[in-house]
This record gives sequence, structure tokens and C-alpha cells, in this order.
Amino acid sequence: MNPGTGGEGLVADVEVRRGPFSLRASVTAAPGEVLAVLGPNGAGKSTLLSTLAGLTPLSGGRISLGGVTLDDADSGDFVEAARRPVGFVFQDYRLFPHLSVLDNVAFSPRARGLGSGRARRLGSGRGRRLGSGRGRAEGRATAYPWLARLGLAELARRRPADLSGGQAQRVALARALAGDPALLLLDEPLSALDARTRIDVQTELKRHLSGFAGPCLLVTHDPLEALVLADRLLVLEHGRVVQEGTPAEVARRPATDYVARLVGLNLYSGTAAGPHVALHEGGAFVVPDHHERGEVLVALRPSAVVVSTTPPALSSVRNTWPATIAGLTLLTDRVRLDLVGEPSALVDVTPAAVAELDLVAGQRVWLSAKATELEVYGADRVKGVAGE
Amino acid sequence: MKDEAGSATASARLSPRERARRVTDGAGPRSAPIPLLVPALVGVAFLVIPLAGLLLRAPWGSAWEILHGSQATEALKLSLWTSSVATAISLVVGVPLAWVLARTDFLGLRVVRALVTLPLVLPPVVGGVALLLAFGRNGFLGQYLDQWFGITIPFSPTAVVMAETFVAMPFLVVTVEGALRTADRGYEQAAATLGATRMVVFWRVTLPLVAPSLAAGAVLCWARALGEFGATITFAGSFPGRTQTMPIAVYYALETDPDAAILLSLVLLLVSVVVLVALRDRWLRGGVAR
Repeated sequence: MNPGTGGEGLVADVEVRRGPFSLRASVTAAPGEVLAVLGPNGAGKSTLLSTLAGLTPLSGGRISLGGVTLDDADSGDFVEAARRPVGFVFQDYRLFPHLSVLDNVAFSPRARGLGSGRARRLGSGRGRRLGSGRGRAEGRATAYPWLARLGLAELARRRPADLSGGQAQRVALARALAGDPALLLLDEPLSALDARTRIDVQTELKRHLSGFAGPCLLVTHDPLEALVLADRLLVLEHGRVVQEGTPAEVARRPATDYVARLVGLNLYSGTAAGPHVALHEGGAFVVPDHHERGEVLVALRPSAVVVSTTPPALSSVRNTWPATIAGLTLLTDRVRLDLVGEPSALVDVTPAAVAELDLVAGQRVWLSAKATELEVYGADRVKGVAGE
Repeated sequence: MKDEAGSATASARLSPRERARRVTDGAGPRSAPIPLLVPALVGVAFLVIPLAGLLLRAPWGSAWEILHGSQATEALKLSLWTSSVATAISLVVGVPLAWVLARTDFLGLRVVRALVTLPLVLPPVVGGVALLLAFGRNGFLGQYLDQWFGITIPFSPTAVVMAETFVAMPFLVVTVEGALRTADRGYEQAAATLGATRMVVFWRVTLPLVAPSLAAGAVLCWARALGEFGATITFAGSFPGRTQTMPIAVYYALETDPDAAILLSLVLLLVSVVVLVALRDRWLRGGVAR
């Protein structure tokens, strides 16, 4: 467990066993920190959120928030979902179809009996003036400031069925925040939106998340979303944490093929000996001085590789190897070549280069990469780069 | 009509209208082959002719006087309030029962479900006999009610309500249980994360979500209670003004006053039509609100 966070924030040692699937992850998040949980489908991301929210109990481990134990598989302590100070934004929002936007947002204040005392903290004097009476009126009084803050005031009377995707997303966020949670959980909050809306909502979401005082966990399989919204990244694969770190670290030094593909890098594992790295899939690289020994990972940007149709003449480039073009894909402004060789690589070239060099599938070409373009790092050090 | 067993290329005339329809739908012929059409028509005739008879034989001219005859009015009133009370009881007891059947798990749950839905298929008269044996003056519960509290249930309006509830409640339970099973539990999870206790979830999320099915179940239950005959006459008898409900009144009036019997039947027919229309209506389409 990370000692840096102590009793503050979220400290979770999560273990869930469900048939052949098992999730085992240590997760910490400091107050005010946005932690993105990134991973492919079925990695256990949603299960992780579900345990934190109290919708799924742990098979093993412990969850505490702000020093308060929410779940402890050893002692048997378990705080039911309804009693946890957690706000959950579901992937499909789950706005109550029979309630107006206002009553959806007022649901949590009303259910939690958030009285005038809490309403005051939320920045509006409205709750105080209502006095001690609880229930609908007070829930609504707490909800109004949230509607205003998320620009939903005009939609207060609408039913969820009459909202656009972006509006529904904002209502879901407002509803989760109105309950005054100490921990905010977002499960793929933008995946239900079309591409154009997503950009707008993403910017807005970042603003609201940065205004949230407690720890925030954001599950996503979109690396861009994670890079934009999160302070820190946690990559989950097959129920295990494979990498943890700042977005910049993860983007520069991916730990697994999955992460490398997400951030668009070629990733190779190999054994380092001096300036040489023997790659496990065949081939070798000459790399810059890196002080690494033994098992290392080598990351290479697709745009840093040079393609030539003839063996290059003597040059300062230290790494040159033959490969065969297996496929060409047109990305927006460049062509991605899928090359098979020792090692295989993805290489980005301009459409003009493809035309001039007459590149076609099945063609044999030479690849070269300068040693300085290769990022070398110890395979065992990746998980620990959280930098706390 | 042409012989369909003719040569493979035998052509039949396709009217422009039929041609246009098939082009638009992309579907095949919409007419029925004779071997299916004839039995279907027989079936329709069998079901509709008796109702037509009812309409044709009705003494429309003196309808008002007959229906305001004391016996008919009393039967109508009794039927309306007893079936309404039976529906209310079914709601209060049946909805929690449906919830327990749909959402909990315990040893013998399936047996309980089978027993609860048994009255759906049980001949009502058997239900009446059973009620009599349980709550009758000599019944295994009824004798104590009589001895200790001086309460006698059989052959009272209370017995009418009990007989109707016994027969009709399963309709509500089955309808609501089905809706609870298919309801999206995601909403309930969301409510839980928003701090709602299980009872708050039930009142503010679960019930509103199954409201259409709840209404449909209540209407079905009420209609079934209104038409109840066998269990009622066995357990409550047929005392005009006290236990003689509409169906029972119809049965007895048929011998003494056929015109009244016909008119009372028409009233019940009208109620049935209204129920049918209501159930077909959008807000009662069953299932779960989305």
C-alpha cells in the first residue's frame, strides 16, 4: 500500500474472485486527485468501481476512505452502498425515467436527508431559509445550485427521455455531486456520446472534476480521455495492475503491448548488455547509454523510423534492418505501415512518400532508427513509477 | 379462386393495389389459404354470435326501469365495492408478495410461488369449499373466530371479499412479479449509490418503474373479482343485498326475470370491454417504463 496517502483519500486493496475471473489491485487516490483506470474490456475496471461503491463486496482485501473502513474482507466489516459517501456516474447514466431532471438531481440530497446545514456549504443560502423541514422541498433546494452550476437550470422540468446525450451526462454528474460525496466514481462517462459532443463534454468535465475536493476515479478505455482528464493513470489488464504513473510517464514508457498500442508506440522487450539490446522476438537494437542491465523494454515512435527501398548507405544511423510491408492504413494525415521483420514495427510515413517510393503490400524495404530515438527502461521498474 | 395445383407458371391476376402494397411492404400475400380461413371464421362466429344474441334480445326500451329495480342495483353496488376492496387488499398484500417472489431467495420459494399461483388454475368452486373449510363456522380457523370473538365470516359481505381476493389476487401477483423480474436493476443500484435505503428504493424507484404493470395487474385483478361466481356462491351464498353479486344475480334472474338477467349481463360485458380497451391503452401496455 502506498504510505504517502495515509488515512487521507482512498486506500483500497481490492480482491474479487468470480469464477475464472479474478481482480487483484491496490488503488490509492489522494483528495482532489483524478485517477484514470485504463484497460481493455473485461479487465475488471467496472468491477473495481463496483467494489468501491459497495455494489460488490470484496472477496479479499480492504477499502478505506478518509481513514474510515468501508469494506474489510478479514473482519467482515461492510458499509452498504446507500451508507457510503460515494457519487457514481454510470456508463449508461441510469437517470430515473419517471423523475424530472430536478428530481433526479434532488434524489440524493433527499435520500441522504441533507438538511440546511449541508445546503449552506454548497454555496446557496436557499437551504437555510427553508428551515428544518425535510423532504422534497429541501432536496430540490439543494439540487438547484447544482443545476445552475452545470448549466441545467432551463432543463429542470424535463424528463431524461427528452435530453440529448451531453445533457444527460451533465445531469448524471450533477446527480452524483448533489449528494455531497467524498469519493467520485465515473464509469466510462463519455462513451455513450458521439465524437463531437464528447470533446465539448470532456472539456467541461475536466473543469468540474478539478473543482471536486475528494478523490475521483475515472474508468475509461479511451487513452485520450485518460490523458486529458487524469492526474494519474492506472492500467488494468486481466484483473491486474500492469502500470501506474502520470499520463506523461505512461505515454512515454508503456509497460505492455496494450498500453503501447493505446499511446501509439512500438514496444519491444529484450535483454540489455551495454549499448546492445537483444530482442525476444528476434533482432537487436543499438541503444543510447542507459545504465540498464537485464530485462528491458524499448519504446519507439512510429514516426521516428525511416523507410527506404534500397539498403541505406553508410550513415550515422545505428539501427538498420530489412522488413516486409504487411499492410498500409491511411490515418488522417499519414499512412501507417505494418511491417514484418526482426523486429516487426508500425511506421508512419506521409502519403507523398508512399506515392514516391511506390510502397505496396508485400514489398521488401529497409528500416532505420537512430539510437537516440529509442526509449529504454527497465521492465521491472515500470509499475513503481507512480511518483508519489 | 384458381387451382393452385396448376402448372408452375400458371399466372394469376395481381390487382394494382395488391401489387403496390407488396412492393411497399416487401411482404408476401396477406390473404389466408382456405384450410386456415374456414376454421378461423368458425371460431370467430362461435365467440361473437352469443354476444350478438345478448345485444339483440336486450329489452332496450325498459332498460332503465329494470336496472333501477332494487335487486339489480343492489347487486351492482355490492359487486363494485367488494371487487374494489378485494383489489385494494390484493395491492397491499400482493405487491410485497410479488416483490418477495421476484427478489428474494429462500428454501421452498418455488413451492410458495406454485401455491400462490394455484388459484389461477383451481376451479373457483374448490376455492370456495376450501375457504369454507378454513373460515366456516366449523372450519379449523373459523371455529375459533366464532368461539372467541363471535365473528362469523361465511355468508357475509366479508366472505364475498375474501372469495374474490382468493381468486383474483394471483393475477396481480403474477403480473407484478413478472415486471419486477424484467425491471432494470441498474436503476436500483444507482439509487443505492445515491444514498437510498432499500425501502426508499422500493417506493421511489422500483414501484414507479413497474407502475404500468401494477396498473395492468390491478385492472385484471378487479375484473376477475367482478366476475367471480363459483367461490363466492360457495363461501358467501346468495343473499340479495348482502352477498348476491352481479354474476350470481344474473344466474338467479335468468329463471325469474330474464330481461333483468340480460341487462345485468350487458353491464358486465360493457365493463369487460372497457377493461380490454384500458389494457390495450398505452399506459397499460405492460412491462416496464423506460
